[in-house]
Amino acid sequence: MNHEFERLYETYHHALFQFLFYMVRNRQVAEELVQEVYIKVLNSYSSFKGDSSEKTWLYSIARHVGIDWIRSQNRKKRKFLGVFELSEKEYQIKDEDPLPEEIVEEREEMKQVYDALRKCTLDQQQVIILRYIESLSISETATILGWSGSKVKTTQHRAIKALKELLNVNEQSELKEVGK
Amino acid sequence: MKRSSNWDEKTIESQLKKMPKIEDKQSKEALFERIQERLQEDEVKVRKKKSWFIPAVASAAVLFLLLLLVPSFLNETEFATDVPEMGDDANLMMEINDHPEEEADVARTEEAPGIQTTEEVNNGYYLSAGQPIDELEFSGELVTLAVVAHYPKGEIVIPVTVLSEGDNVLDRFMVAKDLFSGEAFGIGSFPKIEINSVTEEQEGVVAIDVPSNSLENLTSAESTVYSLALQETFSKLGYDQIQFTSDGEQGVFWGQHGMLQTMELQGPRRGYYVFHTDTGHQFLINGRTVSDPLINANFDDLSLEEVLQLMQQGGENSAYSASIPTDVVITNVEKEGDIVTVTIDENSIDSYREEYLIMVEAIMFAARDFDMNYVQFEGLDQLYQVGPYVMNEQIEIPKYMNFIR
Repeated sequence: MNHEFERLYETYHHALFQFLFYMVRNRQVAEELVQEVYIKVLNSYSSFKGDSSEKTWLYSIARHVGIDWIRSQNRKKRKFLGVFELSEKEYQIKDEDPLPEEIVEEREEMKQVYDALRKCTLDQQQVIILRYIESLSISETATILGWSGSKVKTTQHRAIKALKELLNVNEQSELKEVGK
Repeated sequence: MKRSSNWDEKTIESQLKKMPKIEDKQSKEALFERIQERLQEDEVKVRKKKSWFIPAVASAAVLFLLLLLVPSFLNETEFATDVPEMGDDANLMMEINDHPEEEADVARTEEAPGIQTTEEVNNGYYLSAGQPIDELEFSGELVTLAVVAHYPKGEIVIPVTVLSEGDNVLDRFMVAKDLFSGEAFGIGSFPKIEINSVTEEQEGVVAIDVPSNSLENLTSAESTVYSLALQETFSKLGYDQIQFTSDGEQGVFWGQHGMLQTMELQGPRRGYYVFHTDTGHQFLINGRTVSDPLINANFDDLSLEEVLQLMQQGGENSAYSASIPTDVVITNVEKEGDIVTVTIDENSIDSYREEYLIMVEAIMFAARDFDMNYVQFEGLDQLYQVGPYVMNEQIEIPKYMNFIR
C-alpha cells in the first residue's frame, strides 16, 4: 500500500469523511467523494508547497469536491424541476436522504438540529461543520474556505442565529399542529 | 421527546458540538483498492484528453509550411491593421483599418487553403472560466496567456487559460507561448516574440529579456498587437509592470517607439465583452484592448457601475458584442471590502439563457479589475444556478478566464 496514502489515512481519514458526510448528508456519496479527495491529493501531492498546513490543504480539497457534487446535484435538480414542473417543495420531499443511523440513535433535539442545518446556506453549513463538528479554529476555517477570519466569525454568528430561528419556527409550528 | 422551552444560541452551540461522530465503513484496504482502480481509469481519460496536443502541434507545423509554400494564397486575402503610435505608458488600444501591408506576425490558419477544420467547428460554445476545483485538479499546470485572433476587420487579443508544463507560471508561459495554437477554436497563438528569459524581478514586476534588436523593426500593427498581448498575459498573471532587457542590457528597441525600459500593465478598466470566432466559439475579451470608441472614448477612470453599463452598450462591431444583455437592468452596485453586491431587477430576467453565464462571468472579471474577490448577485434567485455558480451565495471570483479544458 502506498505509504503516503497510509499516513494520510491514519492521520486525517475519519475527520475528512465526517466533514464530507455532513456536507452531502449521504453516506454512500461521502464514500465516493472521499475516494475522489484521495485521488486529487495523490495526483497533486508533489505540488503541495506547504503554504498552508497539510490539514487545511486536505480539508480545502474535500470542501471543493463536496461543493462540486452539491452543485452538480443542484443542476440536476433544476433540470428535473424544469422537465416535470414539480414545485420546489415536492422535489425536496423526494430529495431527502434517510437519517443516518448515528443520528437516528440520538435524541429528538439532535435530529432537529441536524435537520435545521440543512436549511442554512451552504456558506453557513460549511462554517458550522468546520467550527463545531470538526472543532477547527477560526484561522484554520478561514484558510480552508479562503476567507478572512472576520468573515468566518460573521458567517458563524449568522448561522447560529439562522439555526435559532429555524428551530424556534419549527417548534412553534409543531405546537400549533398539536393544538389543532 | 420534544423540547418545551425556546432554543437559545448556547444550547444550539452545545448540540452542534455533540453531533455524533460519523465513521467511514469502508476498510482502509478496500478504499485503497478502489482509489487505485479510479486512478487507472483517470489515467486512461487523461491520455485521451491530452491526445489533442501532438496532432495540434503537427497541424501547426503543416500550416506553417503551407504558409511558406503558398504565399500567393495569402496575398489574395484582404486584411490587416493600422494602429496608432505607442504611447509612453504603453496603454494602447487597437485601431482597425484596412491596410493589408501591415499585419502582425501571428499564425493564421483559417484562411490557409485546403485545411479542414475539426468537427468542433460546428459545435461552438462559450469557454467559461476555470473553477477552484480546476485549480486543484490542474494544480501546477494552468497558465493564462494572450493569443491573437483574426476577423475580417483586423486582429484582436484574447486571454486564454491552457494547460502547460513548468515549475512555475512563468516557465509554463514560456512553454505555452511556443506550443499552444487555438486554431480549433478560431483563434491563433501568442505573437512570435523572441524571448530569452522571463523572471520575476520583485513582487509585481516581471523581467523579460529579448535578443538585441529583435523588436526594432516592428510595424505599427505588430507593435500594438505585441504590446497588448504582453499586457493581457502578464496582467492576468498578476504583474503590474514589465522591465525589459536586451541580451542583458537595460531596455529594448521597440519598433517606432524607440527605447522602452518598462511597460505598465494596469490600464484603464473597461470591462469585458464577448468575441465570437468563425468556429462559433465565444471568449471574453478585455474592453481596453478594442478600438470601439464607445468603450474607449477616453482614458478617464470609470467606476465599476459605469463599466457595467458600458458592458451593455459596447460592441457594435460584428466580431464582439456586449456581455450583459441589453434587457437586463442592473439597479445597484455596492462594494464592501472585497465583496461587491450586484443587484439586478428580477423582472428583467427571463428563464435561463446561455448568455447569463457569460454575463455573470464578465461581471465577475470586471469586478476583479476593481480588486474585488467575491460577488454576490441579488435578483437572480429565480435562476437558482448559472453555470457552476449558485445565485444566492457569495461567489469567489475565478482566476482563470476562457479556460480551454
